[in-house]
Amino acid sequence: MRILEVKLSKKILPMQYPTVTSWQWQANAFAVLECYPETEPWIMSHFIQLQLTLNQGSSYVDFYRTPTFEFCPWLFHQHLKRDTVQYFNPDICSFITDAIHQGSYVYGVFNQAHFLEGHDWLPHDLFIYGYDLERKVFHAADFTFTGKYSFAEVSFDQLEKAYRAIQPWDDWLYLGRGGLSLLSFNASAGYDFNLGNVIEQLEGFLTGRNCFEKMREMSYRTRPYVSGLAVYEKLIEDLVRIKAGGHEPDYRPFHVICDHKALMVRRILYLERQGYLEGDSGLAERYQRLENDALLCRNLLIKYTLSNQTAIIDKMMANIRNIINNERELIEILLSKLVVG
Amino acid sequence: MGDLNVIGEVIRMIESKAADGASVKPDTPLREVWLKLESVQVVELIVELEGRFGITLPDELLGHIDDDGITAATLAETIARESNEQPT
Repeated sequence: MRILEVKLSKKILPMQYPTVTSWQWQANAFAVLECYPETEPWIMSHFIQLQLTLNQGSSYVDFYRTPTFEFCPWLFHQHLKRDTVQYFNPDICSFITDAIHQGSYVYGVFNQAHFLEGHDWLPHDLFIYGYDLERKVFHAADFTFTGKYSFAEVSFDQLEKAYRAIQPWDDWLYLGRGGLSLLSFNASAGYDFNLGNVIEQLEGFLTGRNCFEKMREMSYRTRPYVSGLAVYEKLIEDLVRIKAGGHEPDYRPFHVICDHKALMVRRILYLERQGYLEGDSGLAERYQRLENDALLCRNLLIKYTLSNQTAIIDKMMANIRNIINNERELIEILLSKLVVG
Repeated sequence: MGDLNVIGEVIRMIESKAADGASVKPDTPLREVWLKLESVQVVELIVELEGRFGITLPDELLGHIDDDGITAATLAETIARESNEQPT
């Protein structure tokens, strides 16, 4: 017997402002996962290795590996083609409210020019986590509302237009696969902290070897990339090009590095609490200083774009070399002090 | 410019940058204000303060801009110090 469910007039799925805000796919995942303390062992076992993809004109830096939705055991991920969505329900607003009603966040590319002023065309990925049938609005998250990761409301009418405006060639999510993702928290999952995995990633950070390379068939094809400490060397090369006028300044890689340091501080405190590291090791405070150094780099590059003072680039390069030396030393100390059971 | 005037001007410029009717007091942690701004706007404000007071603020400030202890008053103190002006 089929039991008909009555859809609630409004529903908002759990979201909180995330620790990681460097890329929207990471921010969205953290906004959900950080609502559930049981995900902490998984978060602390990942997001250690950094990857810089060698694109022409700009370097793309991100945690390895991404997108989190596709490999996190705590997130149940269903990916649908737009044709499939259309087949199930031609009314996209009704489709999305049904999905949220059933506990799924909805993620996809929308032409946000339909609800953001000052744009004629803005295909960008939006994370929808709630609805209100009476007011006919969705609750959504993205960087586009205010320029930083934030939550906002979008009317049903605007969202439908924004969805319909996307053609297959504009649907760039998941390396051009496009479509809509339905994500729900998988409460039945379990994950034990993986110290061996953490050690392997930390060692790989020092040597620039990505320990997950052996499983690359599970990931997306990428351009050539470097990992770990080698990321900083490439960023210095980028700064040399920026100083010479051959490269546009882009502060986003440094935002990722700030997030990486914030997570390393959190990881060290976690290791201490769990007894994998002797308490009061002093490593968290030293990593906190690296986070400040990374923030300084990000802000100096912004200041350079505002002032064009080349001396700022020299300061940044010196600061990055300082980060390389200190982080190498800190990871070596960390590895030597880990209590392996 | 006296210290009180420096604080007043710093607050005025911060409120103007926040542009959402934000009320900043001398002891308001600026971290709360920054949450409403883009990273670019925060650094813009620092550059504008440097231009307004004819000083260069220490680079270290940009690395600690999110610290809890930074308030409008402490920022004004730093500006006053860099301007070689003593608090009244």
